[in-house]
Amino acid sequence: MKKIKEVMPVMPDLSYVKDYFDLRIEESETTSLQFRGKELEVIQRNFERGGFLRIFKRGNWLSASFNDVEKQINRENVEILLKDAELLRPKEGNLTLLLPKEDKRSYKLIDQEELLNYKFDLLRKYNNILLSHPKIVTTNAIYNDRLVRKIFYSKDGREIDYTIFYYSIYLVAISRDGNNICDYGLGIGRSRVLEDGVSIKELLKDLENKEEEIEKIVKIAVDLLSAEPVVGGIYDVIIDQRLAGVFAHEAFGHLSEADHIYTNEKLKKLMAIGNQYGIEELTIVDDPQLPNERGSYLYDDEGTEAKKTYLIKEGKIAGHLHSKETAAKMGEELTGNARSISYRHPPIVRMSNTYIEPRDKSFEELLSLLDNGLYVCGARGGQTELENFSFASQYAYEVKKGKLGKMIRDVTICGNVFETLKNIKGIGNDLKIYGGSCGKGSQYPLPIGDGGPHILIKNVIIGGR
Amino acid sequence: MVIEDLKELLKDKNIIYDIFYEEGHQESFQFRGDEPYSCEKKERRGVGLRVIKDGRIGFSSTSDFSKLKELVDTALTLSFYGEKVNIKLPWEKDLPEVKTISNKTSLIKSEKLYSMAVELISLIKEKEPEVKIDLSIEKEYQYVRLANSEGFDASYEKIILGFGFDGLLVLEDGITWLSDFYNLSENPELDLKKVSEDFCQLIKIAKRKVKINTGEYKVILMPIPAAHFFSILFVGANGKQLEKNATPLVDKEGKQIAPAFLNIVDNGIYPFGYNTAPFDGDGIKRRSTKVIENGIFSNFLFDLITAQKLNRKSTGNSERSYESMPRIQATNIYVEPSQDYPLTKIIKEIKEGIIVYYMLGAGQSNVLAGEFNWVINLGFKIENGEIIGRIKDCMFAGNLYEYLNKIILIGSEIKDLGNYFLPPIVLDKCKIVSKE
Repeated sequence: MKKIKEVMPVMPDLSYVKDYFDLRIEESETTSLQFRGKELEVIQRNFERGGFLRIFKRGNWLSASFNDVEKQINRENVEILLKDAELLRPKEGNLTLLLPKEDKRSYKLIDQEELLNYKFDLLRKYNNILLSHPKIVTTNAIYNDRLVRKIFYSKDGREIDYTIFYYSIYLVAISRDGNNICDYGLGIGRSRVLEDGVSIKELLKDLENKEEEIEKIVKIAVDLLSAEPVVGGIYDVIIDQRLAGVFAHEAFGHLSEADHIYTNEKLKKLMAIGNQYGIEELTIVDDPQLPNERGSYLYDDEGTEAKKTYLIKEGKIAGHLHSKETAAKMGEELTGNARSISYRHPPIVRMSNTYIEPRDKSFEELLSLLDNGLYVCGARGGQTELENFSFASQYAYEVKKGKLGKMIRDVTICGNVFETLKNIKGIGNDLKIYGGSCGKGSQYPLPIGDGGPHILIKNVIIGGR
Repeated sequence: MVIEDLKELLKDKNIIYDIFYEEGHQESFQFRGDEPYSCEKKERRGVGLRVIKDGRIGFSSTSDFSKLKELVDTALTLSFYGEKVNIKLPWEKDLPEVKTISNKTSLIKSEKLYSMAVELISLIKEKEPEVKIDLSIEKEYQYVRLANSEGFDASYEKIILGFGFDGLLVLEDGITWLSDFYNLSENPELDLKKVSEDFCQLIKIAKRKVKINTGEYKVILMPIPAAHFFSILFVGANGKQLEKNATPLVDKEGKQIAPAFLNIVDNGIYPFGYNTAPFDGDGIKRRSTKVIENGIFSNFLFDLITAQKLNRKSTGNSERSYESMPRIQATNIYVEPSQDYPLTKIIKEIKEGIIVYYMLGAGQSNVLAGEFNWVINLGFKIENGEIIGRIKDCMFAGNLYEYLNKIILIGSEIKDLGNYFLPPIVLDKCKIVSKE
């Protein structure tokens, strides 16, 4: 524990704190560019530095976040924090602690030059493609990267120091025909833990050569203008990989977060390990170890190693996502899912990369199994309140006798997650994982990944007029 | 000192700039599953620098005040790529006097806030022992100072106190989730007995499930869903969408878009509103702007740059934190209530309808076009002037610009949500899709 001075030479010793504590220091640099229409309306760089100290005393959490790291962490402030514990009613409660471990990773990047020109040119090129059709009235084209160094130190002897680089583009075309306005877009997001010899310019190549996909954005945004709104009702549907990801994350993933579960005995029963909610082919996992996906990391914000967790295996509940607190409360193993969006927030139970595992059916086989219904694509977003979920797609096609028909719009899928899981009748073989952002409580945006193959679901409620 | 240091660094550069400085602290208590969970303290500070060099904008921000020189260099470097603008930064005099700090709230002790939470939870649990309560109280102090190269240099302070809680009830046939929120920035006194009674009354009805068929119904939107409903209007009334020709309101200024009894104001100086301030992110006076007046769409909202491009005037709607470039945003949205129409009277007059408390899916649809597509997460059926039970698995979809004309009644009881001040509204002939 003496090594804190090596990890963070500016930090004072906290060994006098008798209770569990952890301290995070974050330094980050963010670059953002945004075109709206022809204009580059946002160009900015942000430099952040701050810390978050947390103490677990008498079953309650006491925490403080601050910017002036050197000045704020002192014995006097720690005592003030400890005094807050007297206000809160004490309660039973332990944490699952880790074995001491030190993992400090420095890095030296190959490229020294500013890549601003490169980022600007790439985004401008894509934005110009978006603007290439006369019916596209404006765009929303965003480039964003964030290099964040995470330093972690805790009472149970974890000393972690590593740097992760997030990079993404988000491209939306807005089409208009008279009073009819539509939009369509997509995002690509990746991340990389930095080490010696990494080249940012090489990483950014992940964002290159997307011209074809961007032309497709334009086509869909324009096609949507003549698409008819869906008629609300009950449909059998195939959802595409993007929507499958949103389903895995929004509808089911949030329900697997143990902080929802542990305070409620009845919810514990609904989410008990072994409960069967789906067909045997259905397996949903959360995996922060996937290489370079947007929701990947080495350690969570409690210093726990990232690891793969089965949420549903062969149709049965197989696991929950945990922090040090929820793992202790439920007597289950740590999963490394305590994450925070920045040093201003405490770590809470969150997902990483959440996806439905692929099986053997081709898209064509799923179409013929569907026979009549909808093929629903893309995701505007999703929201859940435990068992209820709602997610809006970007566009959809009618399917008649196994054949794709005309495009329709405004398709929102909703329902009860347990019923919907039971209604999954076919799982495709074409897994894709996408980078996105998740919000929970007041913490948005947290980088995550989600995905799946094409999925056939029966009896889905589709909102419409 | 940060602003003075930056002014010094910028003084011989002969550029237009503004510096947005903020600092503050927040204390909050969280309760989970009826029990205290945490006490959080947050310090926050940072500075954002916007420069206009050779007519082009650059921006940089930092919370690390050892990096001020880097901040200036970065903003200037970025301006090489930035948007070309032709604006003069303002030096407005006679800024409005605004109410942003109440003595009662600023003096309230942490112990008192904590005991309010404990008392409310115990009042609810007495009546509804099965419900699990999560609760959060946040008291935040903010200090903002804006200075620009023209000489404008002003600041304000604000104290915000928010009290929110939700209840989770798990029954054999499913989960019920309810929540409530109070902006106590003006007055921290809260009638906990009444708050708990109203909440328990909802829980009680929520336990009774009733069926509903797909069809057209009168719908009462309670203030939280009504705020979601009107938020779509404020996407369309954003001057940026006018500039980009991406709003159905492009040619609607001065035209009737809603019934004549509808009046909606964006009020940047509303007493103790979350977004109340004497000036906006550009240094322009905050004010009250009529957006819908007697059903007529009367104004788009603008910041300085967008207004200049369209040859309009800023409405003081430039929103900004130290971390971001200014952008147009509504401030505090006020929907004028009617006289003498409490909720009880509204319900009594409905033969068959639905009352909606919460919904899922806000902001997920094509809001630019005005579309909404919601799952009714907590809604009740009304028959013959009485709430008879909870409806489940229902969706409600439509287009705001069409539905504005379906508003047939506005309630008289305003709910203060911090940035929305509005009563319940009643919509006629809403298509509700049910799975039943």
